[in-house]
Amino acid sequence: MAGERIAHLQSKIWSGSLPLEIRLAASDCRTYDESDPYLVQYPRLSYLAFLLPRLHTFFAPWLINPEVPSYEAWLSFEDVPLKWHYPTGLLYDLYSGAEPINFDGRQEREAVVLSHSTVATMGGAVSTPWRLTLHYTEFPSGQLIPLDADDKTMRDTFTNAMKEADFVRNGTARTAMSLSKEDSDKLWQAVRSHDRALFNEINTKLLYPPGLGLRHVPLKVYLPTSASQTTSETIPEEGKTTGHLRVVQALVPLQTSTRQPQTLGTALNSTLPTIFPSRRNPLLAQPVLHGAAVPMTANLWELNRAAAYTDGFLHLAVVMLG
Amino acid sequence: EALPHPYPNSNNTLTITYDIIHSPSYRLPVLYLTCTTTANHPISSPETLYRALVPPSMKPQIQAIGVMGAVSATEHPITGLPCYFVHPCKTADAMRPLCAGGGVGAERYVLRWLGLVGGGVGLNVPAALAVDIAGTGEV
Repeated sequence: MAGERIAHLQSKIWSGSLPLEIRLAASDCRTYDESDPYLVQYPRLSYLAFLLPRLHTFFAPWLINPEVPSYEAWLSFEDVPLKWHYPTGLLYDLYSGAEPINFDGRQEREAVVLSHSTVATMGGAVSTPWRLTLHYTEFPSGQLIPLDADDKTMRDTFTNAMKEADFVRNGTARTAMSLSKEDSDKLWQAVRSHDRALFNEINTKLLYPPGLGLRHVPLKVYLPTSASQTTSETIPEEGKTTGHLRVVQALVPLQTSTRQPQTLGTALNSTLPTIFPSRRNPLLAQPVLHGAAVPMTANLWELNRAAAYTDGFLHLAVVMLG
Repeated sequence: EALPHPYPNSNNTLTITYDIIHSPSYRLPVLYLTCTTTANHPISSPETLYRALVPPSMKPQIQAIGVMGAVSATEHPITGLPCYFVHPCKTADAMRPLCAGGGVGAERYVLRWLGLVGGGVGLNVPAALAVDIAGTGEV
C-alpha cells in the first residue's frame, strides 16, 4: 500500500511543469526585439539544456549569426545566467520570485507517513509564464559550465550527482558504478525524454540494492546569500555574482539521534539551526520544493522517494520570511 | 595555492587554483581545480585541461575511470563557479591500503591522499614540504 501511495505521489511530481516564455536577446536578433517568443510547458524535473536544439531551430530565421552551434547558447532570467546542471524546477524555486504555495490544513502530528495532502501542493500548476532570455554570444564562461555537441557534459554532471546520491544513501557508490552500460544508457535516456516508467525501472535498482542498508537521505539546501550572511558559518565570498547562493549539504541519517523518523524539520534544524531554530515551525524561513512550502513534519525519506529530482537528491530552496 | 602552468609554444598562461575541500557526502577530501587563462582560450572541457596538465604517462589510467575520465566539470562548493574536480568514488578504496596499520593523523592522510590524487593532475607536493609536515620524514 505504501508503495502505491508513494508511486502516486511521484507521478504527480513528474507531471509538474512550468510555462516558459523564451525570447531571443536583442543583441543576437536580426530584428532586434521583434522575434516571436518560444512557448513551452516544461517539466520541473527536466534540464533546460535539452531545449537548446529546438530553440536553435525555432530562432534560426532571426539569428544574426546562425552558424553558432546550439550548445553555445545560454539562458538567463533577469540577467542571471541559469546553471545547466540545476533542474528547471529548482531554478524556478530559486530565482523566479514566485510565492511558494503554502500548505493548507492541519500539520500531521505523526511524521511516519507522508500524506497525499502534503504533496498535493507540490508541482502545482503555474499560470504566469516564466520569461527567459536566450543568448548566442558572450557566453559567461566564468559562471556557466560550457556544454558540448553530444551532451557529454550534461550526462557527466548528472551521473556524478546520481553517484553521490547513491553514496549518501548507502555509504558506497558501488551500486551506481556497477550499473550495466545498458542500464546506465536507459537511465540517461529516461532523464532526457522525461520517461518516468523507464526511469523507475533503473532507479529501483539504485534505491534498493540487495545487502545494503539505507543510511542517509540525499538532501541539498540552497540559501540566498542574504540568509547566509546571518549565520556564523559563512565563508566570505570574493567577487559575488548576482544570484549567488550558498549550497549546504550535510549527511542526514534516516533517523534522529533519539531513533525517531527523520523529518524535514529535524534535518533542517540540525543542519542549519540558526535559520531553522524550530523543528516543527518555519519561524525565519520556509523550505520550498517544487513550488510549495513543505511542512516541516514531513517524513524525509518518504519525501525523497516521492519528490526527489532525477539525480536522487531533494533540492530545497530556502525562502526567508518577513 | 595558484600554480601557473605555461602552455608549451605559447604566450598564454593557464592559472590553476587547487582547493582541497572536505565533502560532507563522501567524508573525504576532494580536489577542485579552478582554471583561468590570460588569453582567449578558456578551459572548456576536461580534454583541454588534460592537454595542459596530465602527464602523458598517466592519461590512459585517468581516462579509464568513468564517462570522461577521473576529472569532471562541476560547480565549486564555495564559490559556486564552474570548475573541475577529481572523482572521489574510488578514493576511499585506494586510500585504505595506504593507511593500513593505523596512526594516520589528518596531516599525513592529506599528504598521502595528495600523492595518490594530485600527481595525476599536476599537483605535486614539494619534497621539502612533505618532510616538514611529516616530521620524521616518514610519509
